[in-house]
Amino acid sequence: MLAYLKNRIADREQLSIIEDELRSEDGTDFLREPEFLPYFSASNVELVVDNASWQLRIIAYTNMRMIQRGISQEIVVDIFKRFVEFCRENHEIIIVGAYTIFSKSATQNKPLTLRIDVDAISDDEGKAHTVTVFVGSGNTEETVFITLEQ
Amino acid sequence: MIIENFIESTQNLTVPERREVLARLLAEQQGEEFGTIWKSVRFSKNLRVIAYTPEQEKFVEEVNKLLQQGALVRIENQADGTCEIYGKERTFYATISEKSELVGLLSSWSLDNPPREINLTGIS
Repeated sequence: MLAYLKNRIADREQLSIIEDELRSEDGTDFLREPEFLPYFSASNVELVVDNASWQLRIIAYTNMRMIQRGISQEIVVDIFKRFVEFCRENHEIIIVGAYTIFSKSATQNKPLTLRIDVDAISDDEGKAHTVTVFVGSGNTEETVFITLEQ
Repeated sequence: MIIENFIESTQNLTVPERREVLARLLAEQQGEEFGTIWKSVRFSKNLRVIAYTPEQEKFVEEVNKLLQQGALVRIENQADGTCEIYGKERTFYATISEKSELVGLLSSWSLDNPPREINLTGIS
């Protein structure tokens, strides 16, 4: 994270203030603040899976978490592709709404959960499907696994 | 016994569907007994609710009001502060900072349309 910020922030004084915030007791809280997010850009990734055009929107908050955890865009795109292929193979139609995808990154072999919102599907008009990507619980040591099974 | 019967009656639901139902009907302490982390939160008027996606902007006021009245949340990741906030008819996925009274809205869904869960962990 700090290495990334050093490349983004030319103002050494500003960088020093942010470094202090991140190293402080409230560093994890500081990461969630909206004024911290402008240092992270949102991005759109277009890809074609099974002849369908998809547009993944990675918001600034998600980008920040990806950088924090060393998760590349390629890893996220790979999981999304596997998700689409899994749904096709299992005859599950992807519809508008929220999905939680439990996975592992192929390169890091670590559990990685993607939470996505399928915002729009408009096959008829030939428009891209749009999906917003969030990174869910990625670090198992800090994650509370929820089970309702008795 | 009533609670056991009630939980038994939700066995045919998917896990996300059960969460939507149980979160609204089980008390915090009872929820913990089933291995979940449920927590009730209540914020002051200093609460800041911010939409981190444009789609959530229309829910800012609703979440602000909800959390000032007090609501049940399920913690997903303590380090990130990510959790699900259970409203009356809608669930919100957000990052919460209790100390600085900040809620960043990421996603939301209606009670009858919880997230579908796909498990790819065993698939290469």
